[in-house]
Amino acid sequence: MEKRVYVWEFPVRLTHWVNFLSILALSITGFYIGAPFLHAIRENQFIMAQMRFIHFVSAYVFTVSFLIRIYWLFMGNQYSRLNQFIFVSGERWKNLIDTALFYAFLKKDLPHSPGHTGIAGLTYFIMFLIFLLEIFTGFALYSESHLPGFIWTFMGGWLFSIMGTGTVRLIHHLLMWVIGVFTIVHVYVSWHNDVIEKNGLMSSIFSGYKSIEE
Amino acid sequence: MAKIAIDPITRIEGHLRIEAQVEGGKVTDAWSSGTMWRGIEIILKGRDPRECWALTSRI
Amino acid sequence: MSKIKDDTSSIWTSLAKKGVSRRDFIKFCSTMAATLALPSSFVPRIVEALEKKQRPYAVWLEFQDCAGDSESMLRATKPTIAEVVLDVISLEYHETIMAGSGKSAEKALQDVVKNQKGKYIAIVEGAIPTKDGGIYCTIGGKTALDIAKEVCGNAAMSLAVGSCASWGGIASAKPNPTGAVGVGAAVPGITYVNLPGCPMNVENVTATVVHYLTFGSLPALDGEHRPLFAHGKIIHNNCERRAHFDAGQFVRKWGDEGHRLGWCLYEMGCKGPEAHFNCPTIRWNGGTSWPVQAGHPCFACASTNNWDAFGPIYSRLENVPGAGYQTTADKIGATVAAVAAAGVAAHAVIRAAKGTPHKEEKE
Repeated sequence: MEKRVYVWEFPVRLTHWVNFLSILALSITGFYIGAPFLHAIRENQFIMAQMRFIHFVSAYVFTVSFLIRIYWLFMGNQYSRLNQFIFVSGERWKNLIDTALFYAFLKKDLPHSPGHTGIAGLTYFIMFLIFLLEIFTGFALYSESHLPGFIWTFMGGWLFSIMGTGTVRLIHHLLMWVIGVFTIVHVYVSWHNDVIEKNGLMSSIFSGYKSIEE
Repeated sequence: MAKIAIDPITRIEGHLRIEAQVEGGKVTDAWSSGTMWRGIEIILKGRDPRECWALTSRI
Repeated sequence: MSKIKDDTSSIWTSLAKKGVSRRDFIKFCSTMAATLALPSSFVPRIVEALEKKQRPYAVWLEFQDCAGDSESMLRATKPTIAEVVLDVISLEYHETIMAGSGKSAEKALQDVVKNQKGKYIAIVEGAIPTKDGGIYCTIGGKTALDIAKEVCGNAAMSLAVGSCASWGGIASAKPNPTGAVGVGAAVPGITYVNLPGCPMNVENVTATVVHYLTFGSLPALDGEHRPLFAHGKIIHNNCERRAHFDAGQFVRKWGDEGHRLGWCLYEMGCKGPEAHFNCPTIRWNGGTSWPVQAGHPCFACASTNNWDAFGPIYSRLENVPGAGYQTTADKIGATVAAVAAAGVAAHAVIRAAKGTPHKEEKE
């Protein structure tokens, strides 16, 4: 018998899609800022200014989405809690190993759990840290255009006390590629697991529901 | 016989030390040394060739 | 160079003796207020300070340098008075321009250090090597490190002029063969100001000295001991080509139409967005020009570690540590993404071939 389980709550799905859209905007505009691939042909164009504007607005949206998801780590249902990403039980580690072995074609079946697999949990934890670093490096670079002030130091300027501007920019640029690689793998694994489990996984990030074996 | 040393030589760019051995009012031997080194040739290695002018002009 | 005597004439009286008019003197004081980012209400205080204060003694030390900062000082032309002020600051020792040499030069330096202890200004140009006992720069048989410790240690304040004296400059560029450092790092505990630039901008140095004479203190400094009036803002925000940047009009090749029209040099590697300096405002050689105005990108010559931290001068992106200068972050990122995509495709093929785990058909 299969029953429908409400796995991904509304804030989880909302922040997921806001992240996707804002990261898409941030990546395209961010890439342009680093390497302008369009050039103005008329005097009254403002391509770079518009790209930067979209980048900054998207950055704020992304930051808010990130913070909401952090809040939900402590307020959400069992599938969205902190312990799904920072493992406190051996069972999560076992899930990670079993899942990895399955992906490597060394095990016949995927361990069944309605929520995130162990690999997903660990990966998303690392991605949280990467997002946080992108936010800090981004606001650090943004703060260079502003007068010194505690808010800018707090949001990223503190990085300049341990590394130079060039390094901050390099990290900000490289992490965009890391997020890009993650996206490729993330979409593939989600698709792959939906085919394996046949439980409506791909639709669950829209509806929130998965069909689980009883 | 006396040995004199003039260090620093002034009104030049850079650092120079001149020593001379004087015997009977005549200079019989002399030495010069540049007393500063930065290693710009070593610093140039591995860099983008297009920017070398910027470093060597600071010699 | 004048011998040390009890010279009580102020800067204004010395200037007047040299034929500078009162009007030009006031104009100079106004220019200094502007450079220091002070409102014009401060001009009378500057005037009063330069009228009354005694000419301070100064010594100019050169270590691992190219004498570029000395050259910058000698180019002070706008107004002519800046040059005169520096001349009038009783500069008792300067190896590139002083008359004496050898022992008489060293005696001139020692006279100031002993007789004006705690009262003179030490101006330092060039980096200080620390490797192998500091042997890579010696003057009169003493290492630069020892000279700096003695002269800066006994000064009222030290001005580290130029990037080399501020943070090591070109001598400290990778791999820093001589262990070169700036004055602040070589002589801990002294009162000092960093006035980086490759070379320094003499207007900023003059303004710092005027500030010290007027207020008896150093101007507000940033986290790297640089005056905020010169290093508080990034070049990008005051650049005259900023409108072209915002529009998306970039020079792509040297001498192309954009270059001739004065478009933004961002794609040619301009480090204006990273550099904190006031070049677009006060410019160089008496306000004549500055690199971007002349058509060459900024390479952040005043910023700490600029030779290594920002990537090559003509590259938009920084170097990835460990990769050669032609491997940019984008090349690495794109390669990794392509490998990931290929890996994912391969996995999909193998999965399709192996089939999915058997699942019971539901009734």
